[in-house]
Amino acid sequence: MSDADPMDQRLREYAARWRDAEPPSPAPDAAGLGPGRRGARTWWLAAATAAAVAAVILGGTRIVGDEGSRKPSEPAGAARPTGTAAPGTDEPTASGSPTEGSQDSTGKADPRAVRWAVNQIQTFLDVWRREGMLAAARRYFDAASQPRSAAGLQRLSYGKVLSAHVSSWESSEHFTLEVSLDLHFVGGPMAWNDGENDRFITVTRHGSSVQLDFATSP
Amino acid sequence: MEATLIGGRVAVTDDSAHDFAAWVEPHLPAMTRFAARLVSAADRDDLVQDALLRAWRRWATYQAERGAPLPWLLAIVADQGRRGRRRSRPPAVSVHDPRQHTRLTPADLDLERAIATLSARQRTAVDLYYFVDLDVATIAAVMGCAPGTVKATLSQARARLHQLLGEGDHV
Repeated sequence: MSDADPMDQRLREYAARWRDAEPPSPAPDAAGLGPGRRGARTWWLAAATAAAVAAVILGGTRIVGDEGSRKPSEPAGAARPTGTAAPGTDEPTASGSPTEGSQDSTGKADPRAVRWAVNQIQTFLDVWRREGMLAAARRYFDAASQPRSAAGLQRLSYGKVLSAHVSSWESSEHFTLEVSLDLHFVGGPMAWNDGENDRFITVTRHGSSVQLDFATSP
Repeated sequence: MEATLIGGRVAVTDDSAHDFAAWVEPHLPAMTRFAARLVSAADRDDLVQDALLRAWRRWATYQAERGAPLPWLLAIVADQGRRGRRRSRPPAVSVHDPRQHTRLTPADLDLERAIATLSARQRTAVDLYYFVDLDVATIAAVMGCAPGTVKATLSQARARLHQLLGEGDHV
């Protein structure tokens, strides 16, 4: 970034050596689709072809099955997540139990704080949908994460918390949830998926207010 | 597979798989580097393959006018990497992986360990900017924020690394 920053130079030099040491990419080989030519490096193409059949069938089913029943804000053919929402209810699942592979510290999680945080995240989504990301960011993001203008920000048409699990836990005032969100957008989703999105959301409480920090990794 | 078209949205043929392979190939080095930053060296190629499969499944929903392919693909890599870590959370860096560190110095490993302690947002920015070698605008698209936020995050990350590595009073 800056020529005067020695850490920038150190990172550049290290990253260059790191890239040089990396083995080459596993290149896709379209020719591997031919009979008897599906090697280990092209297994995904064969699987993708089979998956495409299911995608076509699913897409057709949704187009027919959703006529008249789709939410106004829900795009046609949008993938609906399965297995994350509580059966028979629109309420998201919220768990204070550690998810698979999470840290032992999650065992101290307070389910009330988790439920409160889930409600806050849902309110954040509601504000994002009704008033835009700029307004939502002002209420829920820290100063460093504030967008400078509404230009280029995603417009949310539908947003719902599907599930939340504790990823790490410091206290009832500071913890990280692994949250599954169902999001749909007006225009491009950019870094989001149109449909299910999983994010790590660090929740920091300041009295009755809350700060949310979204990340794609723990 | 024969060509199929439903509702004008999905067309699947053998050709489309070949088209997808050609479409994704220019972006594979970046996808692979990002994957290598997210999981162990042994899991890197599996993560890329998982991401390719998922991208293929969603390819019909990709719309070029809404953004470049690379941020879309890297977001899928990030998502798949997170799903993989749920099953097992390997260290980002294993000092016992000779393939990964053949040409790296002890100072590099100190730096890598310091990077591993950054916040998730800072680490993602550092990984994408330095290791994947992307420009700030593309990183902003991947992270879903403004370019200025990416620059600020990188600056904070470097300051934190200075602190962690005890290299003076850089601000």
